[in-house]
Amino acid sequence: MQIFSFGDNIKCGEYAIHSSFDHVINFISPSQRDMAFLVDEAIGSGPLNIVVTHASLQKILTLKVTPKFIITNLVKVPKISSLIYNSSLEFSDVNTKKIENNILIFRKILLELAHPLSLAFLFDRSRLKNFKPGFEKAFADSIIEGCTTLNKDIVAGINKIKGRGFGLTPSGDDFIAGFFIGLNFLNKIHVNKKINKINDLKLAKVLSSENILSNTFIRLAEKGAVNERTKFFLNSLVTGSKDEVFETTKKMLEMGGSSGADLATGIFAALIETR
Amino acid sequence: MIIKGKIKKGEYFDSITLMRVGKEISALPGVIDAAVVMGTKENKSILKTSNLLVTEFDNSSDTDLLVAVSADSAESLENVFKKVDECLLTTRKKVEGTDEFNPRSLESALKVLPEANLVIISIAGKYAGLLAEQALERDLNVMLFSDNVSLETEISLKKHAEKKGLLVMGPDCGTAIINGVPIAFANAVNRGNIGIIAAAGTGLQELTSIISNEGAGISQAIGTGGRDVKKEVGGIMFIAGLRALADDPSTKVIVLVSKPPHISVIKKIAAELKKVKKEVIAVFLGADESELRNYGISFAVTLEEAALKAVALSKNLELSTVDARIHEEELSIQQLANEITKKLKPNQKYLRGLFSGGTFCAEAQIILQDSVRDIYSNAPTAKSKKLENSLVSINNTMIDLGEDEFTVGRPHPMIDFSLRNKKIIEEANNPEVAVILLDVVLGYGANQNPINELAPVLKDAASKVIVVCSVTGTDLDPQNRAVVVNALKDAGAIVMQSNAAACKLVGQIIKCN
Repeated sequence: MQIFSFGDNIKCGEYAIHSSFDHVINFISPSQRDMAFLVDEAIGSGPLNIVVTHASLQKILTLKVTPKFIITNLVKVPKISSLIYNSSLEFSDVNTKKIENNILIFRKILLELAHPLSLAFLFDRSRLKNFKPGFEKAFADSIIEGCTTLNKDIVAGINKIKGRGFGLTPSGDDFIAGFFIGLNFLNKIHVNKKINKINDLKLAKVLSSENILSNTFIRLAEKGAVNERTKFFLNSLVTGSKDEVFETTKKMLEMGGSSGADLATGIFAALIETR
Repeated sequence: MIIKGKIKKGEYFDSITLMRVGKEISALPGVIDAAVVMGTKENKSILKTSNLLVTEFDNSSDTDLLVAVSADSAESLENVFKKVDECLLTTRKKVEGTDEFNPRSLESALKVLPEANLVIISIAGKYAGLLAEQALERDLNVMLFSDNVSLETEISLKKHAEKKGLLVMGPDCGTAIINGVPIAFANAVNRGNIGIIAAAGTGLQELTSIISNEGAGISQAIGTGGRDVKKEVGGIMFIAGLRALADDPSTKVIVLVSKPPHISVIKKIAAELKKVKKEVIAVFLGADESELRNYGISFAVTLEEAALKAVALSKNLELSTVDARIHEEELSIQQLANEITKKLKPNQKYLRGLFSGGTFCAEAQIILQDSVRDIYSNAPTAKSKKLENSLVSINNTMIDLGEDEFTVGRPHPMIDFSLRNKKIIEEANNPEVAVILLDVVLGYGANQNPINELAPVLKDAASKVIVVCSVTGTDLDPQNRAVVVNALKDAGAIVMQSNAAACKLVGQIIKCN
């Protein structure tokens, strides 16, 4: 087993398996507050990701992180500084016009390629036809109501969206994470210097659920720590060609089940909400 | 109506799995609604709104998986939860059973396949150059499918490759055949003794297909990317490819294909050809013929002519046989045009070319420049004028649907026919349109069901206008050229043996009318 990269937000300690998927094993600390994710290259780097190569993820049962080593049941690997993944956002060559054009391309691709049952319907109501009457329609209606509130009162809106939807990280939580990422992005590119909303949020009110995975992603998003695919995507919005925006958006939409699409929808909501 | 719920503790699944299971359960006989979601407070409120909340869920937490089903009877519910368990178990087995390792970096890919000597790169252009450089450092040849690689990067890569005796095919190189292996958008062709160097992807496909269909075969087909023959790049890979084929014992005849190289590159090619002891035919679409003659370069005017001449040379036949054959074909085309145009109404006068291959669009404009007036194109060449709005045709219009404005956010028109099909219908409904010309490109990477997607549209169009097309490919291709040709003919299209022949036919149709 080799380490390809490890995230800059991973805390030292012993971890146990929380949940297991094709390309990722989620680990959790005994305190149930911290997580680390053992992933393969298909997932890529992230603030809490340990990207391993040449190993079968499903055979890894234990994880321990020390200041100098990453230790699994398979092997002990030194933490080389050149392998640290920097999860923060920094941009140069900010051209507002270019960003606006790229956001239009992003929107087009999001609405064409997002999973049919993702939250992209918020920006294309024809997608609501994909939601069956019953639970699916009720879910969609609740999200619409939450977004309407979001425009007036962010905390109230977030509380109406979180915890709703499908998946281990519910769609609404992925949307909120995306929304925070979008706000951080805007702060970084100084599009609207008044965007300080993220600093006003009382995050504790938002993170009142027991879903440690969702809470973790939302916490990271709130501080502007993003994974590699999201970083490439945001970079492409600032300086990329339309092909680059297309490719990076596509890669982001492929994250998780519908998580990538819901995250992208949240990012888009922040970008247009604050224009 | 009966509602039942179950809590699954400590079981985690991604959203797609849960959506899929929910849909499968909902489709069972007697089931009215179903939901498989995490037990968050908010999801429970939605369950309540949709009449799926049961008291058993009162003690569930955010991290529990809730399965809720409503059905018209107890009998319908009987096996539902068993079905849920089966669906989730199938997913779980798939997760635990997998031992496959899919490399996602050059380093890890080389660990899996250390004997590889060619890297195919298809990532965002901004990053592709760096990866190509890393490949060259490891003494690997490169095929750069990526576009949006800067000119400076391309030049640097090719100079580096030249020093090391390696090939860099690209950027924006979508087609190659190396040692009989078709790469990316390529066709299944015979192996033989004709080698090709191409700065034009569909040009390469047309040549290799015609050569194979004529009973000859391909030794190697090397793509260089469209910019290679421009002044700045200086034909670095074109010359390198020429040298490689000149030294290749399995190559007897060499064909060079591109749009007109810069004069400095023509001079370099001419100088290199003096050292090559094999027969070489060049097809530089739209090039000044007198210039090529001055430099002693044997050339063909169309891709078809180049392919037929290469075949003749490989079989030790006289080139004059090719000239005679082409002349005969042109006479037949003239007769066919005279017949077909009788079907047209007086106000039907315009040609609309809808191409998926940029080289075919260019070749069409070159062939038709003297016989069809006022040609507009979104990718103009020869005497054509620039079409200001690519979506609005003017007079005689040739559209390259592979250009950027059509491909952002959607697959290439060789894969996805939907946009071109829309255009075909639109143009056929225009009372001033006489003929629609199109290319159909088969092979690996291209649309695998051209008949299902194209034939119905052409049938409708052919009832209103003349539809002329060419089909690039072979019977060995996954789509099987013979089957596709027959299907398109049955749909009412006139299928010609090459893009050049199709263009000549439409030129005669427009002239006659």
